[in-house]
Parts: sequence; structure tokens; C-alpha cells
Amino acid sequence: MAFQDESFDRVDVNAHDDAGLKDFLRTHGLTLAPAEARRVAELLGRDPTLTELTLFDTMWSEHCSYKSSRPTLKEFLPTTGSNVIVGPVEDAGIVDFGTVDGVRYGIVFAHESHNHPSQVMPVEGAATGIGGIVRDVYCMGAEVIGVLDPLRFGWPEGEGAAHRLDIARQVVTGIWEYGNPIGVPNLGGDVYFHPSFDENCLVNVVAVGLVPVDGITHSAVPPQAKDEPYDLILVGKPTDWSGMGGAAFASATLDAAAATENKGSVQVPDPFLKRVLTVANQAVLEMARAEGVVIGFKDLGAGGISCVTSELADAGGFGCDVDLGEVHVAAGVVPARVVACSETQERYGLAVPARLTDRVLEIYNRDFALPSLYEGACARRIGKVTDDGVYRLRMGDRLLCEAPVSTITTGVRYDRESAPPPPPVDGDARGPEAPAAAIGDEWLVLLGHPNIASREQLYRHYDSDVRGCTVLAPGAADAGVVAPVPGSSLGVAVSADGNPLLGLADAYAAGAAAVVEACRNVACVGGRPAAITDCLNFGNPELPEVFRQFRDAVRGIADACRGLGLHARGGEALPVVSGNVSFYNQSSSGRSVAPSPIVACVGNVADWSRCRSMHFKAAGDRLYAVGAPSDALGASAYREAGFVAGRAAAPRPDLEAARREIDVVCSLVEKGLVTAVHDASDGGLAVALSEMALGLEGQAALGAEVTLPAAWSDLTPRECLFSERGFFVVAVAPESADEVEGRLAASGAAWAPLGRVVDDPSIAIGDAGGAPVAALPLARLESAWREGLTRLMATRDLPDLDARRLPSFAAAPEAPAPAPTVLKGARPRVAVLQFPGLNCEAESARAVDFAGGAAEIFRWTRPAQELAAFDGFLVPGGFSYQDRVRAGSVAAKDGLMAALQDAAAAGKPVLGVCNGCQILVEAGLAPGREAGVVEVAVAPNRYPGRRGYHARWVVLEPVPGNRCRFLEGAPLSLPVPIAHAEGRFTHEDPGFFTLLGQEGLLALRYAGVDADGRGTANPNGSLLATAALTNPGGNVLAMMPHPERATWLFQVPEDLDHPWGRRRRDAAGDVQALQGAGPGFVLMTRLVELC
Amino acid sequence: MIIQSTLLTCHKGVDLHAETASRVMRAALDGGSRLAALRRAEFHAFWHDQDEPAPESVARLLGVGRFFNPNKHHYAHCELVGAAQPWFRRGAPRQGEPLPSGWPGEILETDLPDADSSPLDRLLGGPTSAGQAVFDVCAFPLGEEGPLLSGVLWRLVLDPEGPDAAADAARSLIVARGAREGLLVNPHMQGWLLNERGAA
Repeated sequence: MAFQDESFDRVDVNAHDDAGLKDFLRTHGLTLAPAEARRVAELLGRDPTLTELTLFDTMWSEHCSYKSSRPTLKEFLPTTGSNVIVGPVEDAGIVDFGTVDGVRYGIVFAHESHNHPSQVMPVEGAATGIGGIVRDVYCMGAEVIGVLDPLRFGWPEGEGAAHRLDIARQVVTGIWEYGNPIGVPNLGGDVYFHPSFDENCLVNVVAVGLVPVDGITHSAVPPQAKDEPYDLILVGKPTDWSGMGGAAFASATLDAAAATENKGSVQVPDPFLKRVLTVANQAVLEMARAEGVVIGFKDLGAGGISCVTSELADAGGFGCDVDLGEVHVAAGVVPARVVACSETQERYGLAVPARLTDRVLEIYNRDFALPSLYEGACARRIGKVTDDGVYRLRMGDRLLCEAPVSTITTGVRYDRESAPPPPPVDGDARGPEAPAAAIGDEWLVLLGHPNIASREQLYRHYDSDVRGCTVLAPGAADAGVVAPVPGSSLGVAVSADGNPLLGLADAYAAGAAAVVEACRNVACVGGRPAAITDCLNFGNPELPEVFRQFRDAVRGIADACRGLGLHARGGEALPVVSGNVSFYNQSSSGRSVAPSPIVACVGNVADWSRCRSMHFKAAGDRLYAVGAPSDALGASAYREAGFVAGRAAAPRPDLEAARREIDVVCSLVEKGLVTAVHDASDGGLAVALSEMALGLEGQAALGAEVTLPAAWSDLTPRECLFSERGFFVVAVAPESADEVEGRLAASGAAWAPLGRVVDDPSIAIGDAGGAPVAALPLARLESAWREGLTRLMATRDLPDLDARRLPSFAAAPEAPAPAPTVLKGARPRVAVLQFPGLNCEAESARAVDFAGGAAEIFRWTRPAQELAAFDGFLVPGGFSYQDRVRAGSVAAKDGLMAALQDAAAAGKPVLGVCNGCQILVEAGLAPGREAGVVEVAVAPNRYPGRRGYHARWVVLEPVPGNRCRFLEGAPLSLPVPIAHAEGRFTHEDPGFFTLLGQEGLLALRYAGVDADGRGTANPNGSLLATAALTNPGGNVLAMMPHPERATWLFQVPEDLDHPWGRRRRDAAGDVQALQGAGPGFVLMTRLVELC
Repeated sequence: MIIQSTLLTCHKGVDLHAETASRVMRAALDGGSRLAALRRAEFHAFWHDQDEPAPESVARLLGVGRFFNPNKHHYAHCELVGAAQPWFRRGAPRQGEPLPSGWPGEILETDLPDADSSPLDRLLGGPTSAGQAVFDVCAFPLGEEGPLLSGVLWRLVLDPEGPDAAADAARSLIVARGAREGLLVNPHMQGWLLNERGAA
């Protein structure tokens, strides 16, 4: 029987009573209220088609229209400022970054939630959250320079904990499986567990980008469309059913009984296609800039084609005519209304001058070969811009929608009822405290609490070093820092924060504290808070109590923005330049999540060389508190853990005090006067000191002697140690102490000396009179802190902490700093191969250039014979062909690799890194005993306690007797980061690797292992701890670690337990030195020298 | 009595791994021109003695969202009950030996169409024309010792050219030995078992 497409049918909305109409709408997957459906008919002046109802269902959803929240947001939030380039009117906001070499840049950032999808399909829900938010930033014409993910999960213990932990693990998997391939570094986030999230996890995502201000694209048909015809182009995945109704799903109460239907509303992510589209989009934007034309550019999210085309047209004051018959669709029956409104991922809409349409299509379809990479993917012209202000959507000559475009985009508004404020908490009385002797045990409990314990088990899955611009990665400091413009000292600091315990106690305080905390974190690394973006996660706004919480939180955010101000430009409010509201985070049982206003702050860093990690640097450094604790311990982790101290009231931020503290700490960092800064927040001073002492894995060596200041004598020791009012702990070298104290005294901020860093692995705290309060060895603190969350999130085979400690490389041989390359004659031409899905080509090319070569990114669609003109080759990392079949296996069969085989045989140097290494192995270039024969494998990591992607720094050493020419003159100890899921060199006969060693074909191995290659320092289970292979000629090096991420000194972590870590610390504040050579430089240099 | 439980999933639409692999095999491998079709499913298998608790649950695997998405997958929950140890136990043959004919057993639950066909035909489709030879390849990681073994089930459909030549051609396409030989399995890290149906 032929398919009857109801999409064109007119729906007589007045033929039903409310119940009948509601039933009709639900039957067709629509969540419009009956009154809203009738309102659509009124606006159109006729009965709507089913497609029009579907379109309005999306456009009027809470997710798209902010119909409940917009009046409140407009009432309270400051959105303007002298640094605001684009406010909250487009897909992302933009604030000033600064000018480098005459080019003014903007920081682009946006915030989104993907809560419901992540609850029902954790991997794909979280992945598409990342996918959506980076599109928002990309379509402003920006490069995405970082993402963050604030996460909230159900309580990890008790009945049902296994499922809740499954969700947490799968969300993390979704983040790395999507975020890593697209080539965007993960810069941070936060994680809380609480029973209110048992049935509704929260997955918020933040993306940060950088754009030249004169290169900003807008989500609008440009005014030039008045002067010449503009076409509408759709590019990306073929449209299918996936994600149909996603916006409406996100705007409704989550019904566990409708699990299957809910899963149907979750989009299907494809990071591989996203990566290819990103590179192709850049080519289109560059072409447009070169042609001097302005284009409109918008990502497809909720509402799909109908939303993107109507919003592009309306934002420019135009109309448009869209023919769905021109849209590329997936195989099978896809009704017209699904084509119009489906949220199929990985698509963009463009408005381009018609004279450039063919060129744009050519870039996507020929140069980047979209149709060959993904069945049905391509770019197509789907319509044209009109000047009559009418939105026409048709399938061939059959009309689906015809209406003034503003009718579609204007949306609806609701004035929700807000409950009166609750009575104040009777929080004046201090709680009775346990004997002082218990403080140490309480401290340990807090450190092991799931909301405080080390997040390393999570963020080691994330690639934080891709792009090669990361200065401070997650875990190193309170905020992530990137240096996005090579050669410039300007940086971006970013942090995301929000405390659900505070949300439950006082939504106003939670909103204000989220702003203050995010700003404090940015200030810890010397970032001047420049703007915030918020994501407001609440229950059902139709409930007056929930709506009051929402309004309170927004007021809190607004007051904090005005109270803290814009630090770089005194007197102005800190602007809110983008954001998101997520309502209906409640289950069908009526249980709502804790009110969760989550705020991300970006800060301008004047000189990233002065950004320091939070960890203690040297014994003798002085410790100071900037700010002070309070006796209000309500909503603290301490009380949440079941202990009692202080008053039950939740603290409200003192904004004036916070402003002074943030200002002075920023200036101390900017002046290079601090060695470490950390914010005392969750868990208070006790936790802050512990985290500053513990550092990276296995390096807890420096402790602290602390005396609680006399100025805090009206507080009990527990109030001093566990208050979460928020203040800074600052470490200062003794020679800077006088200047720091002078600046603190002049700042008007409260401050006090705390003590000093000591060369003793313990933290000892005494009161102002000298009596001991608590003292614990770092080993015990470390055990509690590292195990608390790791035990919950790891796989079942996690060894004990002692059995997984990494060896120290502090005494490794120290090589002299590499000398700059001295070249005679022309710079050798090095081809950096670009297979689809690779994501390290840009930084690899920069590294080659830095080492003296002339790098050129060589796209896979170019003729292979052109490779003969190059002197050397680099196959970079990433996920070529999405790791289809097996990592590296498809690219290995590409015609380019045959050309590379010839080049290697001719003695030209070939360096393969990470996925490039996998490609060389699968192509038979390494070990290359028999050229072109696949002789070994690079298999999935195998390491106790974890599976999947793993990213961290390792130390390499040359294998004795190796014949690799890249390693001639190389140092004996080489720290470099790894970032891979499949890095285990293996063979079905382990003895084969012994043979390779005997033949000199094992080039590098992980240092710190036993003679058989076993030990915790072998990060993936490689046979004989092999990290790199060479070929008999020694001119091929296939290595899993990333030398291009260690080419510059600034890329080395300050806390690296290796002489290179010391070198990095010693260079703090010297931007020239930090832009000098790092440990990976020698390999890049050899690549150039061997050409 | 040993109970082997297997969750099998296949794409409702295009399987990009299979689509890419077939394109590469036809374009770059010797003998690739004989490949008429390449299909793919994923499997997740575990086993237990019937007197002991199962180390996993298919319901959990289906529900956790990691292995199955109703938007894009069909699934089949299969069970094989018998005295034999599972083929994927340590020490079992694993480089091109025959796939036990009974595996994966009976379908207990599925959303696959075509109820009259065998489980693997329902999952992977049958030959498309007379004379074609069908080869099922079960590829899995070597040395995996966890309670859950995940791998890939490939089905190659080859155009006719005599049964012996077809088997040789299939093996040549399956095992990655060189630039023009093999793609689906790297024998240095993967085990593989083969089930040949022969020409229809």
C-alpha cells in the first residue's frame, strides 16, 4: 500500500474539544497544548497543516521559545557591556579578547543542556550535547578552542546505584567519544552526585571559541541579499527520523514508562562527520572572506530545516522559499513534516550569494568528498531568500507552510505564577560539635566524598591537549587556560560552577554563588572575568514553587554580576552574553532536581605565562588566605556528610568582599607574585590545602604547616576548616612575601597569613594559640581523595592505590635545552597528511614549521603523485575514517599510502603519530621488515581499572640498539603526552616483539617498567612497553605519543614529575622561554633534518 | 550445563563500517571485485554455568544505551544451552577455524523482521542471487578476559566462481596481510572464526 503522508493535511483544530485535540496532538507526537494549537490557527487565519503544527510545536517549545523564562531573564540579567561584541541574541555570545598583530579577536561562548537525552540514552545524549554546543560556536565563524561539561548524577550508593553509575559512566563515555574526535580540548567542568538527580541527570555543556572580529558570521541572511539573489544551502547528514520531536521532549516531564519513545527523540551523533564538516566549513568561510562576500550561517538543532531557514530569514528581515524535495534524505520513508522538523545531527544551513552556490557545493562535495564519507551526506541548494517576509515551505509544488516568517519565529509567552518566598531558615544557632579529636577523620571522609574526591578517573578520558594550545588542563588549576593565538601572550581562562546543595537551600544564593565561584576560579589563574553564560536547570515551571526558585536564582545571578562587576572595565556589570534554560527536569513521579543554576565564566588573561597550577611548588613558600571563612555551614559538604558544626544557614556571598578579593588575586597573578592559588570552596580550607599538596599522580611530597589566623578567632576550628563561604589560598615565594602583603593590605580585602609549605609529606593545622587542631600524612589524604570517586567509576579490576602508583621521574637524565634548528638552504617541504577524521593536522604543521620545515596540509582528495614533490611526511593523529573497521585500517589502504610507501623506500623520513602510527602499522610501513606487510597490531588499551581512551603524560626512552634515525642524538628521557584508546602494540606471538627488539625495530618504550615491559608506567599494555616502532632503514617512526603536543615548553605541565617539569616551572612568567622548545621538539627537528 | 547468552545488534539503515569496508575492499584489494555484499553486526557475549549467577544481563546491555539504540539498531537476544564450553574461552581455536554451527543459539527476544529465517539470516540478510557464496566471520579481540566479550560478525557475499576459489578469496579479503590483501581482521590482535555456507 502506498505511503499516505499526512504532512500536507489540514487539521481542523476547532473540530475537537480540548481532550480530543490533545489526544490528536499526542497521537502525532506533538506536545502543543490545545489552546496553543488553536492559537496557531488564529495566527495563520486558517487551519494549519500537520507540518505547520509540527513546526510550531518545536518553535513554541520551552526549549526553543523560552516561553516561561524569557520575561524573568529580561527583567533581571545584565547583558550589555563595553566588551560585548555580540550579546545573547544569536547562537553564542562574543566578548572582546584583544588585538594581536593588528587583528582584533572575540571570545565566543555558549552554554546548553542535554539532560533528558542523557538520562535515557547517556552516550548519545551527552555526545549530541557536545555536538550541538560546538556547532553554536562554529557557526559564528569561530574556531572552538575548548569545551567544559558540568555534570550532575544520581547518588552513587544504595538501591539502584548500579544504574545511576552506569549513566554516569556512559555520559563520560559519550563526552570523550564525541569530544575527542572533533579535535576540541576539554578544559574542565564539575561533577556532583545527589539523590535529586536519581531520575534526571543533568548534562550541561559549554563551548568556547575564538574568532577574528571582522570574520564573525551571523545567523541571519545578510543585508546584501537585498542587492543580489541569495540561495539557501543545507549541508551534512541526510535527514532522517532521528531526534524527531527532540525539543518538545526536552520541554516535557521525563516519563520513565515511555522509555522507548523517549529514546526515539534522542539524536544520533557522528563526531567524524562533524570533524570533516568543521574543516570544510573553514574552507567555505575562507573562500567567502577571500571573495569579500557576507554569508549567513546557522547550525541545525531543534526544529531542523524549518527552524534554521525561518530564523535565518527572519533575523535578516527577509522571507524564504524552501523546497523539501531538494533535501537529501536517508533511505526509507521520511514524511515531509519529518524532513522539515527532524533534529538529525551534523547539519548546517547557509545563506550564500547565488553566484557562489556552485563553488560552495564543490568545496563540500568534491574537495571534502562528503558523499563518499557518509552514505547520503552532501551539500545541496534547498531554497532561496525572498524579500516578501513570507516563509514558504513546500515539497515540489505542494505547499506545506505559508506564513509571515515573524509569525513562526515570534513564539509565545507565559507569565508563570511564582510562589511567595519561603520562611527564612532558623539558622542562627550553632550546632553542637563533636570532640576535636574527630576532625582528622571528618577531613578524610570529606576528601573521599563523591562530590569532592579526585575527578582524575573522569578527565583522563578527555583529550585536553589537542590543538596544542592548552596551558592549564583539567586538574591542574581551578580554571582551564588556553593560549589560542600562537605567539601571543593573551590567553583565555574558563571555569564552570554551580552547587546543587546550595540550590536546595537557597536558590538565590545558589545563583549568586555560581557566579562568584566561577569568577574566583578564573581569578585563580589570573583571568579577569569578562562575561558569563548560564544554564538554568529546574523542574516544572508551571509549579509556583519551582518558578519562584527559578526567579530567585536569576536574581542571584544578576545581583552577583552587578556586584562583582567587569573587572577589566570598572563600574560595569559583568555581562551575561549567552545561556540556556532547562525546565521540566523532573520525573513523572513529580520529583524535581535540585535547583541548579550553573554558570561558566570566561576571563581575559593578559599573560598566560603567569598562570600557575594550584599545586605547591617549593618548601618555604608562604601561605595566605584572601577572604575568610564564616560560621554558616548550611548546604556545605561537611553537613551533607552528616557532621555538625556552625550555623545551619546557607551562606550568601558578600559581593563587595568577593569583588575585592577577586581583584587583588588577579593582580597578584598578573604580577607573577604567586606560585600557586586555589579557591577554598567545596569542603573548605581543609580540602583546598589537601588538593594543593597532592598534585598529580603519585607526587605528593610537599606538605603544609598552617596556623588558623587570630582574625578568625570567633570561629571554631571546624568552621575555619570546612566553611564554604569561599576564599582564596595563595602560595607566595618568600622573596615576594613583602610585596604581596603590601598589595593585600592596600586592596581592602580581608586577608591573613596561614603558614608555609614544608618539605614534609603531611599537613599540620594548629589554632592561633599554637595548639594542634589536626594533622594528617599526605599518604592518608591521598588515599581518601584518589579513591573516593575512582572506586565508583572504575572497572571491576581496579588495583589498590599502592599497586597503581606511577614511578617518579624526578631524577631522570636531564638533557640540555634543544637548540634552535639551523638550516642551510631552503626549508624542507613536509606534507602533513589529512585523512578525513584526523584532528591534529594544524598543530602538527605548526610544530614542523617551528622545527624549521615548511609544512603543508595535504588533503586526501589530492592526487597521490603530488606527494613526490615533498621531502618528508607526517601522518598526524585523530580518528581517520572514524576508526571504521579498525583504527587506521581504512586509511592504510588509501592510494596516498602507496605513495608514502615509495617515499619511505626511497629513504625519505616518515613520522606517524597516534592514529598516524596506527595507519603506518596497518599499511606495513612499520616495522616494515617486509615492506607493505601487516606485521603487528595496535590494539585497544588494556590497563587494570579502566577501559577506553586515556590521556596523560608519559616518559619515553629510546630502546637500546634501535636503528631509528629520528632518535640519533635524542635524549635518554623524553616526556610526551599520550591520548588514545588503541595504543597497545601487540602480536599473537609475544616473542615477535623480542625479535623486533633484536633487529633494532623497537624505537621507543615507556620508561619506568620492568625488563618485560610490565608496570604501571606502561599505559596501555604494549608488549615490551613499546611506544614506537621504526623500519629497517630507520627513516620511519611510528609512535603513539604526541610530540607535537610537547614541541613548546608551555605545553609541559608545571607539575610534571620530571626535569622538564622543573624547567617548565623555572620559566614561569617568561613568555619567550615558554614559547621555546619543549621535549618533543627534538623529534620534529629530526623529521626536518632527515629530509 | 553451560548457558551462552549473546546480544546481537545490527543497523536498521546503512552500517557505515560495512559500507566503507566494502568500498575499500572492492577498490583496493585483490579479489575485491567478487564481493557482492558485506554486512555487519555486533555481538556481546557472556556465559555461565546454569547453577551460577550470570555475570551480565542482556536487559542491562539493552538499557544502558551503550550497545543499542532503538533509533538505529535491531537487536536479538540469543541463548545457547548445552554441555559445550563457549568457543570464546581461553585456549579455544581462534584463527580461521569453523564457527560452531549452533551459535548463537535460539532467539529469545528480538525486533528483527523475517521470523522464518535463521537468526543470522535475520540479522545479516541472505544471498542476493543464485550461486553466491556466503561467509560469516566472527571477529573478536585476542586475550580478552573480562566477563563480556564484544566483537563483530561480518557476512561476506561473494559472486560465484567455484567453491574452493570462493573460500580462498574470502580468506584473502578477511585477513589483513598487506596493502592489497585483507581488511576485516588483523590477526595479530584479533581472533576470527569462519562459517562457510557455500554457494546457494
